[in-house]
Amino acid sequence: MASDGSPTGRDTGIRPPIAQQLKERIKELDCLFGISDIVENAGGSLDRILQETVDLLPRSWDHTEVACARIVLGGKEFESEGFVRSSWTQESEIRVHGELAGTIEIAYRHSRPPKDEGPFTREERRLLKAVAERMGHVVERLTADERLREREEEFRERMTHVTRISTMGEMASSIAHEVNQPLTAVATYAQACRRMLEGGMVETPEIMEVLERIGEEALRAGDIIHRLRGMVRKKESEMAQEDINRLLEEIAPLASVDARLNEVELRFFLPPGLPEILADGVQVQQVVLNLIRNGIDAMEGNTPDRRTLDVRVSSPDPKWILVSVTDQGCGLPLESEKTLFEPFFTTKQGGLGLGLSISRSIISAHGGQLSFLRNPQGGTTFVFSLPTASETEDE
Amino acid sequence: MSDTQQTVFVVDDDTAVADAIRLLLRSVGLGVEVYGSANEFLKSHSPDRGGCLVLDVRMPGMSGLDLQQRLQEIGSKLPIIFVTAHGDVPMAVNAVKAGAVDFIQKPFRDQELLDKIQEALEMDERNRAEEEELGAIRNRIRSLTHRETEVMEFVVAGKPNKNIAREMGISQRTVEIHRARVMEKMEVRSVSMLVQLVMRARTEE
Repeated sequence: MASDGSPTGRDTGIRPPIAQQLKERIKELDCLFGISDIVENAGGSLDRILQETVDLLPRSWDHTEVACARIVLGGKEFESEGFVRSSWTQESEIRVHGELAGTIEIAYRHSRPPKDEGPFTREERRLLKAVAERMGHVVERLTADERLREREEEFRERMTHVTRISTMGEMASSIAHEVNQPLTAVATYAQACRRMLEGGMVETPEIMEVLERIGEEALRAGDIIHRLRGMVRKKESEMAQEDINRLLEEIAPLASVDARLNEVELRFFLPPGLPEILADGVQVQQVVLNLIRNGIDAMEGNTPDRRTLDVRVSSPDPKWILVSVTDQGCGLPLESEKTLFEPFFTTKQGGLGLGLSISRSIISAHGGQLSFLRNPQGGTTFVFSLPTASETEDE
Repeated sequence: MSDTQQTVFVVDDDTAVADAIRLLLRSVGLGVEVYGSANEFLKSHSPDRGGCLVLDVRMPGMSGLDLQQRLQEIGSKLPIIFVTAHGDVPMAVNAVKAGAVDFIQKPFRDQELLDKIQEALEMDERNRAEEEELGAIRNRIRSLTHRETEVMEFVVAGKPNKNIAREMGISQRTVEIHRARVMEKMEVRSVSMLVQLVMRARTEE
């Protein structure tokens, strides 16, 4: 008889009694189910999974009170409470994609009566091996998930860039026009100046003033180009604390030219003192430009008295900023409601149909929502929400 | 009574461009007035002011083309030069068909704009001179008495005095007197001249 009362006689061939076997099976199952739970609830954190697993393991070994566990993986060590290396250990290799990646071991702090392998049973080794295999799979899956997420993110960024270019392309005539204005001013001022000097009818201060204006207008043209390059350049998403009013004021000239060319009146309502948002400024501007473009198109056939497009910002709740774009168009037909935000849905000839789909994706990625309402006085309002900087900090 | 001095009216919502044009015109001694919108211009414009209009095609609110239409509605004959951006050519062609003098694309050479303005101002002068003359002719017609007018109509229609007398139920002698008065008041010496004046006065209405 062993000192703890359990029957001995563990020579090869003699199996322990049924009750004992059942107990062991239950322990094994408990262990494996427990690990499943851990993996499911860890929210993708490998560190958490490994730590919780070593904390769980000792319970499943015969001499629980002296058992402790350790996992070494990815250059990190995870130990259960009071782990000590001892001469009484069971160890198993963790393999990821066939390559040795780490080890998992169970150790008894004090000597215990001998069984199959030192103080451990064959079944326990089998369990340890199973757990090691499980850990290997978990690592494989998590890295695969991460790679997938990265590819998704990359794809989304590329599509965002593509639609941004496409929007820029659509606004090409506005852009050319916007640059052309200051250029015309420069050319005309310079020619006027030449004539003034030829005619000898001017004083130096007046010439100086004209030259100053020439410089200003040239800078104005340069500024437009600079801003455009900022919009078109492909770059990683840059999240920063932004003032929504400032972002809108930056794109107002460009949008106004587009509106002007289409004989639409564009109005901005930007109340002061709004909380800041945590966002990628260029992407948010892209969304607003897309909505403005759509609004202008929606009013294409309208009479001159119904060609107003309003952009409004508000913060009904300190956690959110709302931006709305209201047109006086003919409104959205009921059938298009479901497909409106889907990629490649467009009513425009030659349109890409990606604008709303990407816009919604951008806003979702920021933690907000993009949707629309039908205006009682006709037309549609598209509105999106963005969480304020303080809101995102709490997360 | 028209204002003899000619003014170039510049309407453009881009202040820099409008200002630059103003300086250019001033540098060659032309009178200029700048307006930031079609409405502003309409509010302060009176049809007896001579000159021409330099107008941007695209403006918020009332566009250049709308203004052209409005001016036609109120009977203004002020010559218009449209300033267009690149790509507005079809619109500009329509504008010219609708009566604009010309159009010019931004950015433009100063000499080109000045030449077109010169042409427009000359056209306006001719128009006004013509208007004055017609006005004078119409005044003379209005100064005829009822009987004199009747006689004039018959004379212009080519009827001999004898027939006029019979149709009007008066003596031939009386017809001759009326006729002489008509020629005097209309300040013409021949019937063909009379016919010309009357035709001119009538077609313009």
